[in-house]
Amino acid sequence: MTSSPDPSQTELAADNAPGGTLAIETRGLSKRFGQRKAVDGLTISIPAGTIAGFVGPNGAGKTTTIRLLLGLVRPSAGSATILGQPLTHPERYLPRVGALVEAPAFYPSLSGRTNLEVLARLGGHPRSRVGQLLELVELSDRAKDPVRKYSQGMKQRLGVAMALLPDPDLLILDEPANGLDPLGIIQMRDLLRHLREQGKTVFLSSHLLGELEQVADWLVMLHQGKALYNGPARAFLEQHPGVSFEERFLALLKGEHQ
Amino acid sequence: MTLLTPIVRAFRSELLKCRRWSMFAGTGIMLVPSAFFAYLTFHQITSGATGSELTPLAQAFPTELGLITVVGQARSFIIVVSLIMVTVNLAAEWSQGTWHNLLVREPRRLPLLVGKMLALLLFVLCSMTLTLVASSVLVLVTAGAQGVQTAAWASSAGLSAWLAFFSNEVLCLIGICLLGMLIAVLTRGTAIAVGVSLAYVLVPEGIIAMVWREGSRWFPIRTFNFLPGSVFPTGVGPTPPQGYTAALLVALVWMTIFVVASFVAFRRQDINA
Repeated sequence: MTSSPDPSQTELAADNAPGGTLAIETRGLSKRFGQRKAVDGLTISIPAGTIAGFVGPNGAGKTTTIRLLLGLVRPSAGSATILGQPLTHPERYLPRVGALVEAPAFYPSLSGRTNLEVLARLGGHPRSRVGQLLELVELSDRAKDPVRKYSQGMKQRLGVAMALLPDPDLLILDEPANGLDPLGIIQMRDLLRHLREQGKTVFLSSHLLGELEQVADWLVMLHQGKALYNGPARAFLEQHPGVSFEERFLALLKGEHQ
Repeated sequence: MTLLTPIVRAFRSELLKCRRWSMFAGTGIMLVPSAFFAYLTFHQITSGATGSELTPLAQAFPTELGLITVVGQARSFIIVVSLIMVTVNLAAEWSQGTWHNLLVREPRRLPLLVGKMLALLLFVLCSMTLTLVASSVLVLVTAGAQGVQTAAWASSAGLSAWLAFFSNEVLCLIGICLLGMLIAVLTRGTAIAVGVSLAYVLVPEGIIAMVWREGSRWFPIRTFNFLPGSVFPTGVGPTPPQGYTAALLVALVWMTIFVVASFVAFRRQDINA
């Protein structure tokens, strides 16, 4: 797999998808903020039913890409398809998408349960779903406490519950392990694997390269708004046996990847 | 799914957020000083205090307009608190970074904003209703205790005047809340939204009124304030100099401008917070 966008990427990604379909496909996606290009002609393909790791240094454009995919910011150029629907119509695909963007934001004076209920009402999800998710992220016993009293790890788990609210086909997670203790990270890893077994796609942005190495089937590496690598995680690691994921990542950033 | 579905969902979702203590604090801040103003005005009139501002109030006091004249003294305060309640609640979605949660669950921005505003408007109007009713009850009870004659206030003409005042106050606050929505959408931050709201209420319209009295009557807050003011006797006012119908039409034009400007701005905004 080469580092530059290539028409065969789409075929390769489709071949890697259990159902032969793509969850995310972007073509020349760009976003400018004034003179600064946050995302620069990004072309990537994410196979459905996989865990796709999304890595890059700070300021590489990961969060902006995620915001673009969620319809929160408007692209300056390019196009994308998410779950088979165009980026220009987020109302067609977002009901099947769950997301956790950066540090999860809540209404601090409301309880964890009410914070979830606000979103459940908005999305038209049954109230029973809130209870199920609080159980899943092990917050049932603190569900009535105001979120301002939650630790960082608890807020992160509540954010994951928020993302899982619609029982999504595509889960977009931006640094979900932030603030989690080692046990929490292990539980998160198990949860992601469980979701993949259910045929769901997870698009996972993380700084924890070792963590991604353990769970990711697919890899997108971003640098200065462009994709340095977009392909199977295994192929990336097998290109240079014995070289760690982190070493390969740093080499790519320094332009020594070929 | 109809167009109404996302609006109803957004409305019901926003109602849950009205449970926050800060919302009830807003109601309390509106109610307690307003009731105190009403009591103070009642006390000044019944104690025979004199002054150029009190004379028209004292003249209206024994008539069917007496009760609304007393409880209406806190009108400007109610306007300011309502404006702050709406701008703070809406602008906090940017400051807290919660818009992205909401927009991922409901990407249709206009129905989302409509549903939210309907809930906020309902809360503000309930707070105003509670404030006016509590102030009226306080004045009536005090009058009864002091043996002040209030038969005119409770007459059918008195009740009609109260209802006319109330319905015009509702129209006034709808306009004020829509102005608050526009300020929040344009400023996108709680502190700056509150600052701009207060500055607008306290400074520009007043300055323009001093140098251009003729033109200032068409400005939004003055126009909105003319609507309930039209129910009061001349001298208590503010009576709309352009006439009630013209004031109502201008108020509706301002409301339309605020709604359209807010929708256009919000629809195109990048949510980066």
